[in-house]
Formats: sequence, structure tokens, C-alpha cells
Amino acid sequence: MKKTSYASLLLSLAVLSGIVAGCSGSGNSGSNNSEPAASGQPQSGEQTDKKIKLSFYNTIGYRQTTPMPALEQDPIRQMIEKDNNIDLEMTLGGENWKDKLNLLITSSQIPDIITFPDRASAVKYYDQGLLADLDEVLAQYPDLMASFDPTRLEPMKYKGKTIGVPASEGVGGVNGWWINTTWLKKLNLTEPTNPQELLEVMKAFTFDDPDGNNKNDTYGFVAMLPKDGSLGYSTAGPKGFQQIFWMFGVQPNFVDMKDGKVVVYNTDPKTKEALQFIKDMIDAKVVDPDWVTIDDGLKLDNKMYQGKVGVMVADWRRMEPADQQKMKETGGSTPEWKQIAPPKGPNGDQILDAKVFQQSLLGLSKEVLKDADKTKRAMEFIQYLYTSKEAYPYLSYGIKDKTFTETGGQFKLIDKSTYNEKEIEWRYNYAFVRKSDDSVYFDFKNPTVTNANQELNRSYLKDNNINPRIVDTDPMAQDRLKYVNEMMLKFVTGKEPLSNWDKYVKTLDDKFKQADAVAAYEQQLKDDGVMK
Amino acid sequence: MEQVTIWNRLGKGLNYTLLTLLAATCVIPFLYVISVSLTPISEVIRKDGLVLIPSHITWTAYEEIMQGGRLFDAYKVTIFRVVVGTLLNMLFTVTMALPLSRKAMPGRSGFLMFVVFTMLFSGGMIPSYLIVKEVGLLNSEWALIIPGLVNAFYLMIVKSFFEQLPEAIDEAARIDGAGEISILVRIILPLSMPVIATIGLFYAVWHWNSYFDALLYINSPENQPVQLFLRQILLASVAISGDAAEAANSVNPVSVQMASVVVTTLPIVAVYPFIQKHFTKGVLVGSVKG
Amino acid sequence: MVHATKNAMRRYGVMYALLLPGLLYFVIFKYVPMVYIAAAFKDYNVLRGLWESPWIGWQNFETFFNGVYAGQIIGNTLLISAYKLIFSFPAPIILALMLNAVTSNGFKRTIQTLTYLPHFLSWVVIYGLLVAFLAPGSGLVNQLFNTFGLERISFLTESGMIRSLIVTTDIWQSVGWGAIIYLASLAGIDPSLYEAAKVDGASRWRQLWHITLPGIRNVIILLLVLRLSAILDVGFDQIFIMLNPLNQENADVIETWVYRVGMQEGRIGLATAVGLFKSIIGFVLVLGANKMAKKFDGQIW
Repeated sequence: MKKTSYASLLLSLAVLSGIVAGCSGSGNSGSNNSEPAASGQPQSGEQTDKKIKLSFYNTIGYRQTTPMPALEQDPIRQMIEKDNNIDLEMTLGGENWKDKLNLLITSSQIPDIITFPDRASAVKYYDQGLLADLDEVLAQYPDLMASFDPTRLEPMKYKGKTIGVPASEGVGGVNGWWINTTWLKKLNLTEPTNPQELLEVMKAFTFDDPDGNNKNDTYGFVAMLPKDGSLGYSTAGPKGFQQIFWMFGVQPNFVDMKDGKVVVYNTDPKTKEALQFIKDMIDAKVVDPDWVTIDDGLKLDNKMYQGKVGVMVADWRRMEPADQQKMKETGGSTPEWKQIAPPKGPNGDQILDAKVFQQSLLGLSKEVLKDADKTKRAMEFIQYLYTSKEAYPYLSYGIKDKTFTETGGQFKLIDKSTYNEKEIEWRYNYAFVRKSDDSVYFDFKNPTVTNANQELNRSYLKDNNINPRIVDTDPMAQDRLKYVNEMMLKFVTGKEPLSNWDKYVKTLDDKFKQADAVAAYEQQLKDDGVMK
Repeated sequence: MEQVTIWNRLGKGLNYTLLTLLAATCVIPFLYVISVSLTPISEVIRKDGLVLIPSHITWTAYEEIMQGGRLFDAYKVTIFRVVVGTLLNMLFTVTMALPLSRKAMPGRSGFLMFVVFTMLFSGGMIPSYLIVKEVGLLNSEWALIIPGLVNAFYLMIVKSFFEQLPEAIDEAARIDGAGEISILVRIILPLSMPVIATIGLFYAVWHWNSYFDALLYINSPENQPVQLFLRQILLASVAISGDAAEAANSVNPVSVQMASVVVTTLPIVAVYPFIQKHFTKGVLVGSVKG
Repeated sequence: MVHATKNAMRRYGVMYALLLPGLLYFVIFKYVPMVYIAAAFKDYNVLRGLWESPWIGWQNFETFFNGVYAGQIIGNTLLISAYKLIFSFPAPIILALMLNAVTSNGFKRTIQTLTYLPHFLSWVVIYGLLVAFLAPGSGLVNQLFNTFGLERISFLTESGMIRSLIVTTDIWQSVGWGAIIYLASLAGIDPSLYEAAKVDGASRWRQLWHITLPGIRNVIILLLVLRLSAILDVGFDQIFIMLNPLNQENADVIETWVYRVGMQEGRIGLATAVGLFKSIIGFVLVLGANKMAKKFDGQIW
């Protein structure tokens, strides 16, 4: 009995190994026939007019989870294909974009054009050998290069090589300090300009019944705790405490350079001051206690619509009619929210946020560069995306006479209530070419206030050319991040007394090898040429 | 004797009470999901999401997700994979479970170990994708069915139920000269209706709920199942580009999110009551006698 | 020996033939991909592929075990797993027995259908509901606490409560679903056994002990043994959504760590290594449990 059972196991394994061998064999042949179309056809004079297939891996469109429709239902793709004489095979990355890209790579389906939402990922894949150096190629497309601001082009360089072009343009100064001036007037207070005044206003907003309903149901401030757990700087874009930290000139999980040396704010004494201030706010009960369960911007915005909070950090567009309508429907009234300059910290820092850094990148795979003709066609397509005046309205605004109109060269968006936006939401996956200051695209109904808000926010942005270049490469990085996030939260919630700050710094140095990380950062900054 | 009945009654009362309480807590989330889907968004926000009974009903969320016909395309794909997939699952599972339940069959424990081993060790996503591609299933709805043809766990359950059937019935049929297949169809299957119904339900629900295989293997929008549709609505807020100015615009209101939970959940939930009749006692004896 | 094999083929030929397609499926879709377990010992690079990526021995395992938080996450995993084994595993059995004792068919079916509902809600939705009820400020429970002058409790972000919350919600979500298999098993018990017991004057408790439990014993053993195979998988979706820095001391587990360090950072080799470690632990436990089960004639192979 026993013997036969092992025999059957062995038999199975024998079958198995046979199949493994067969499978890996066919895997190799698969990689060879991936691009027969380009070389297989006879070479003719009008080579460039030949229709070719271009695959495009899109991680930068603005509706990544909305699938693209079939060609017949996609007039924008039809236009692109006709204008460029290509078959555009676009794959959306979506939330699992790294997994999908890895699968395409391992199964010999490397896309011709690949986009990355952040520079760190692009650099990682470049190091693994996916992306091509584009310096030589780009030199032949001066129009394309001229269309990008030099400050956006600079981050495309890595180890002295240009590895892509700027993919989508970020809008600066999105979030600003908002204050409920209806409450301010009611309580006869003035706009706060420093931390002490800020705390006083928050206390009054919490305890002096600013909405006059005789209930203790208002809060001075609301903040959030994003999923990644950072109290300060994080990719999830947390709002609230991040701006308190900036008031003190620092930011958790942020790396900077001062006097030619790398500075890690996590151990900066000013961070301790900021933590003390946040702890004072929480102890004074002026922060809405829900902040620990608010983990996305939407839940934070809801607090504004409810009208039970007096100071918060939010999007610059909140006094657009649509948002005012929401405040009215939800909270019963439309308080006069106003954006103010960030309060000036004790060390003279008046910072709202960091400047926009060109994160997203569009590059070519090394495979494409082996084929000069295909490279040419791919580059012409990229140039078309970013420079074609005729294509721009369609790429950015959508479908003519459905989502936008043109009258005498002037473009205007059609009101969204006249069509079903869900049906054509996919169009935003082409809109990554839109300019960040395109007033048609953003279509403000209350432009004087909204534009002034953005202007205000933009005047308090801090230079940001160091931190986005940092990539944590050591396996301990995530554990270190976990420790920092956990300790910061313990400090502000009082679970760990701030008198243990020195112990925390020492632990970071000894146990979590912060010095090693700093050395790695220095090397990276030298590679990028921003540190001598 | 008197005492016993009192205890019995008390126990019975307690049992009914506890079950009712548990059921009540299980209904709350559905009440919540349905109520939120029918409530104007401003009311949901005002009440911090706590709407268990809507004060007035609005169907706009449902109208919004029904538009464009994508939901119906997705239903087609899902129904195909649930029906065809479950049938194939059952066919393969039962045909494997039958031999594996024969305790005297030489090599049986080796085969069983061979099956259990796959529950423990797995190569992960990359090789599975490569196999699906090599077999030529990429972008086909069969990629949602073939790679999950037999679930080792369910196979073990069916096999264990088959083992418990009285061997005497089996032997009697054999003496009558019935072939293995006809024993399976005429005797074993009818006797095993509870487990067949259970595992069928498990497979069907698994098919209904899976999305990750579709996420990896299916590119064309017309082959995407309802769970992907649901995820697209729930996760629209995930800003991959990290572009703060764009992220907020793509979020679906919570009422739309809950409406899509309702339309993607109710159909499969409704299947269960129909399957329950197979769990009634006495199936075994009834069929043997009949 | 040859003779015995021939005999077996004659008697079980049809059986082997039935088994073959299924086995082939397992080989192609389960065993062939296992080649990629080799990535556990490699510095896996997607562009070079599995074969070309360099071997690095046990380095991936060392990274995992030498991590500052290795003790914490393994400890949390074992604790949560143990709690789930002790509380979540028997819960559906108890529910099935309770339902079995119900004589009214309508009541029984209603309860069954209702308790199985939560299985269909994703953890994202359930967490949304938990927030609505338990959020420190606006949550229903804390608003009630506030009305009665009690101290607010931040249930979702309190490290001392998170494990209980994880286990409770897990039971609540899965108990109805899990009971189905036991109900199916109970349906297979020969009713004549109960009739005979009644004639003998056996109490309901004695019937439970001597007929009902032995009747579903093998299913319980089977599910328990198979449950052990996934001892270190404690439910990623659930814990990931409930985890935050305020409670992670007690809730960060192997899977969430692998997600952060392995998956998000693209360290496929590391993720595979930890997966392999979990598999081996599960394998050893299953082998042991099966040996134990043999004593009760409940072995699964």
C-alpha cells in the first residue's frame, strides 16, 4: 500500500518535470516572435506611411479604473490612429499597475511606450533595464522638448541620462488654509497669523458656540490620518497636520538639503516643537476626534460640507458653486469660507506645501530603440500628443459637441448635466496632456475667487528638488518608516511622552541605521547631480 | 420528567433568541448598504454615513450605474462564468472525488497528497499568467474558468462525503453488475445532494466574487465581470498619478458606491434560498428507500 | 507485485481514467507554476526572468527574519491565528448545531439566509460600517457614550482592542457561510438513528453527543486539518483595512508586512520567500495533524 502510493507520487512528478521542460522551451520561442511585423515586410520607399502598431502602457490617465471602450466607440483613439497612421494598443495600468507591467515584461509583451506615475518607479525599472536612454533621440525633436518647461525636464535626468519626458503636469498649491469667516465675525476674532493666534481661534471655534445652536458640537480644526500612516508628508496627500509641520519649517518623512548637507526632518529638533504644538491642539480638544479614522480626502471634505469645523486645509476650489451647493444641502447654510495665508511659525517659516515636482514620466522601452523606424514613429506620436494644437482640445476636453464646443477658435466645456459623464469618463485617460493652467479644462464658475486662491497658495510653496529624488533602497526602509509613523502618533496622542524624543532619535540612529540611509541618499543626490 | 421539559423549553427559547439576535446583526449591514444607496448624498454626509432607514428615497444612484449598459455586459460575462464555470467545476470535482474516495484503491494516498500539496505551495501570479498565456487563454472568458477548474479544498470535502456513504449500497449495486459510472450517477450523486448543492454553491459564489483573475487576464472591456465593474466604482478614488487636482473629481459618491454593491450582490445572495431544500434531513434514507 | 498491479488495473481502471484529467489539470495549473518558488532564493529581476536572475541563497529569508519587527509580526500572526482557530473555527459548528435543533423549517431557513449575508460584503464595505458605528467622534456608539457622559473610546485605533475586533468581525462575517458545510453534513445523518435513540429515551444532549457530533466528526477533522495548512494566513483583506499606525503594534502581521516591503517595493523574491516559509509551516502542521487524525480514523489521505 505504502509503496504504491509513493510510486504514484513519483509518476506524477515525472509527468510534471516533462511538462516543465516543455513549457520553458515554448516560453523561449514566444519571446522571439514578438515583433515580426516590423522586419517581416518588404522595405519600400514610403516606409513612414506604413501603418504600424504602437503599444502604450498608460499609468497617468486620470481615470485609471475606467476601462477604455472598443475602437468604434472611441472617437479620440480613432483620431489619434488616423493622424499618426498607427494602431494604438493602450493598456491601462490601474491600481495594480506594477503587477500588470511585471506580467507584460515576463511574458515578452514589453510595451513600446511606458509611463510611470512617479519618478522613483521609473528609476527602479530603468535600473532593471526596461527603459532606454533618450538623449540622442530627443535631440531630434526640438519642438517636443521646447513644449516642456526646463524645470519639468530636469527631473527626467537620472545618472546624467535622460530617461523620459514629463508625462502629466501637476497643479501647484492645490491645498490651502481655509477659515470660516462667518464664525470669525460672530466671535469677533481676527484671522490668525501665528501658532498662538491659531490655537486661540481654534479654541474659540470649539468652545464658544460659533454656530449659535447652543450645542457643543463644533471643532476648531480637522485633520486626517492617511492609509500609509504618515502624520506628515506622504504620497496619499494628507491634509491638516502636514501644514502644521510646515509652519515649523519641517515635515515628517521628508528629506532636504541644507548648506550642502542632507537633512532628515524626522530627527530635527523643530519637528519636536511641531509635535508639541499638535499635542497641545489635541489636548485642548480642538481637533475633531474623527481625524484618526479619516483616511481619505473625501471624508475630510465632508467635514467642511457638514459645517461643524472652523479651520481646515482643503482644495483651492471649495468656493466654486457646486461645493457651496453641497454645503447648503448638507450643513444647511453656506458659511463664508476664505483662504488665508499660512500662519507664520516661531522660526519665521511661512510654508504651505512643497512645490510640484515633475514625478510622472513617459519613456521608451529598450526594445523599441533597436528598431530605428519604430523609434521614429513612436517619437512622432509622443510629439503629437504634447504639441499638436489640433489634437489638444480633443485629448483634453473630450468629444466635440458632446463635452465641449468650439466657436471661432474658442473652446468651452459643455455643462456636465447635459450628458451622462459615466459613459465617457474614459476620455480622461487621454487628458494627461492637459496644461496645469488650462482655464478651459478647469472651467471655474467663480474664477476671481478661485484663481486668487491658487495665486495665494502658490506664493507659499517651498522648493522641492531634493525629497522626490530620494529612493529608499534598504530592506529596513519600510520598518524605519513604520517606526517613525508610529512614534510620531504616540507623541501627539500622549502615549509616549515627548521627553523621550532623544531616545527616539537614538533608536533611529542605532537600531534603524539612519546614517546608512542618509549615506544612500547622498549617493543618489550625487548621481542626480543635485549634490556636489 | 417534568424537569427535563422545562430545561428543554428554556434551551429552546435561548436557542431561538440567540439565533434571532445573530440574524439581526447580520441584517444591519445590508440595511445600511441599501439605505445609503437610496438616500440623497447630502443626507448621508450630514448623518456621517449612519442611515439605516432613508427619510426619503431617491433612485439617482441606480440610474447612474445602469446608464451606458456596461453593467449589463458585465452581468453577461459573470453569468457565463458562474453557470459554465460551476458546471465544469462540478464535473471535474466529482469525477476526481469518486476514485479518491475508494479507500482500497492502490496509490490513493499518494494522489491525495498530490492534491493537498497544491493547497500549500503555489508559484504565485507570474507563472500562472505565463501558463494562461501559453495555453492561449489570454483575453478570453475561458481564462476565468479553466485555471480554477478544481479547487483542492472543495475536492477534499466532496471526497470525504463520498467516503461516508454506506459501502453496502455500493457493493450491492456492484453485485447487480452496475458499472462505476452508473453507480455514480444512479446512486452516489442522488445520495450526495447536500454536498453537491453545497459545493456547487461554493463554486458559484467563488466565480461570482472573483475579480483578480479578470484584472490580470482580461483586457477588453466587453469581457469584464461585474466584480471589476464594482471595483472600478469603489476604487475610483485611488489616485495612481497622485495628482491632487484630478483625484477628487474621479470619486464616486458613496450612494453610487453602495448602489453598485447592491446590484452586484443581490443576484447571488438570492440563489441560496433555492439551494437550501437540499439540506433537509432525511434525504439519504428517502432516496435509498425510493 | 506485477500481478497485484494488474489486478488493481482491472478493478480500478475506470477509476484511474476518471482521475487522469483532473490530475493533468493540477500538474499544468498548479505544479508547473511551482517552479517559480525558486525566486525565493534569487534576487528576482523581472527583466532578466527567473532563470537569469542571480541566486542569492537564503538572503531573502534573512531579510525577513532579521527585520526589526520580525518578532512583532510573527507574534501577532500567531496570536490572531490562534484566536481565530479557537473562536472562529468552532463558531460555524455551533451555529449549525443550533440551527439543527430548530424545529420550525421557516425560521431555520430565514436565519440561515440572513446569517450568510455578511459573507458577500467586502471588508472595505464592512469597515465603512464599522467607522459609522465606532468612529471616535461621529460614530453612533461614541455619540451615545457622549450623551451619557461616558469617555469616548477610539475602538478602531486602540491597539488593546484591535485583536478582539478582528476576531469578532471575522466570526460575524464568516459564521453563516461556514455553517453551510456542517448543515450539509448534518443532513447526511441517518434519521433512523435518532428515532432509535428516542425509543431508548436518550435526552437531546445525549443524542447530540452520541449521534450528531460523531456524524459530522469527519468533516470537522477534515476542515481543521486543512485550516492548519493556512495557519499563517490570517486574512489579508480584513487586517489590511483595519490596520493603522495607532493599532499596528498588535495588528501588523506577516501578510501586511510582505505587502509593504515585498509587493509594493517590487521585491518579488522576498515575497516568495516569506510565502514559502508560510507554506512549509503549514505543510508540517498538516502532516502532523493528519497523523493525529489517523488515530480517530479521520485521516485525509
